[in-house]
Amino acid sequence: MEEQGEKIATNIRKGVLEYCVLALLAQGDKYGLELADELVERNLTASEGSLYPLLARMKTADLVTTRWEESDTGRRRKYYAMTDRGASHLRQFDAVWNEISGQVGELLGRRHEHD
Amino acid sequence: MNMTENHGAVGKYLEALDHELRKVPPARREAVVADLAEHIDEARERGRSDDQIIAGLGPVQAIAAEVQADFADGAVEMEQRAKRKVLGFIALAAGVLAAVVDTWIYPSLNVDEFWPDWLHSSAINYDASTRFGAGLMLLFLLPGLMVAAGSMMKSPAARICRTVAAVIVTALPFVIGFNLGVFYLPLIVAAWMIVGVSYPRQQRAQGRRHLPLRMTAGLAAGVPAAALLAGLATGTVETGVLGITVLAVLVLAAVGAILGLRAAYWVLAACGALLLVASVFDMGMLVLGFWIAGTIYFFAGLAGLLRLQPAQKA
Repeated sequence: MEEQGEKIATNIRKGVLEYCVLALLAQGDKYGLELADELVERNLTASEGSLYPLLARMKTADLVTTRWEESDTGRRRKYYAMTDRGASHLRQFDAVWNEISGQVGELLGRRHEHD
Repeated sequence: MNMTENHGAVGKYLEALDHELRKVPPARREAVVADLAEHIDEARERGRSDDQIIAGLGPVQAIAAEVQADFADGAVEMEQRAKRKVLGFIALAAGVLAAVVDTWIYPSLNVDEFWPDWLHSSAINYDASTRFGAGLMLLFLLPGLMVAAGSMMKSPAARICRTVAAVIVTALPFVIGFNLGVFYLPLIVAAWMIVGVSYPRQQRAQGRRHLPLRMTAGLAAGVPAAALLAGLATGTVETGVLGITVLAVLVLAAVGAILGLRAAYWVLAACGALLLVASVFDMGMLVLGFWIAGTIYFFAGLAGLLRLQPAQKA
């Protein structure tokens, strides 16, 4: 049962991870590990490694930009920031997600009533 | 990104990732490895153990698969663009060659004398062509340019433009007559091949890849080889060094084409190009035969070269 639950979660996360990253960046610019930590904390990703190919893809698609900044310890950090295009994608996702989660919630609610 | 510090488990992890990404373009490969190295360095600074970090990142195969997945689509598009470019140049060359052969050489052949009545022939007066020869060349140069321009287009409407260009060049022989129109043949084939590589193609099952193509190419080389062998055997064709050489080349090309060997398709394309160019020098009625056979050979070879990737020799 646990295994099945993990499978479902993996499938759903896959579709929304990109928008979760955009939503996190909407709060402010972040570097890789910051994004990874927040996603793991919220249980939105199981493997932090796949975050980096995703970020590279989002950069190619002009959803995020990167810049280098120095950390307190003097090491270079790659910061990610959301572009206007990224913000517009996030707004569209917001609308779609509201619609879907509303409908799904209603269906599940109705099912509970029949139980 | 002090990769030198990354001994032990972390070093092995990054090396394994780098190895998994070996088919990805170097720039992307280095960027992903550098991103992960940075992640590891940052996490170490926060006091996490290497084992913890690696467990959190997940298997390298999963990361590599992500990178490869979104690279694959782009690669297909790049490959198609490169193919269209080649075909565009060929279309242009076909237009130029047709213009030369048709406008300057063809009128002197008096093909009209043996051209069958039932086949639609040109209403263009060759007296005019001697006066407006260069202008008449545009009849072939412009369609060639049109097809080539379509192959280079990048806009979303490009597919439609390419299809329209292919339909136009296909219709031309019906409009101006087949005795002139037959010289559009290479251009027509090139135009439709350009349309063909504008659409994504489904992968075929392993082992049966491109079977129709290989069979057609095999027949194109094999049938004349069989005819030549019969000719040599019955003495219709004189046994000579040339006859034997041509026979050997055709048989090897036919077998190689059926097996899907790239070399065989290079030979076919080269033979076709040779025949097409030879049309310029041949003044007999053979010019039509040379032209048509050259077209078949050249494009059978070219199709093989464009379709069969080096990595998947059948």
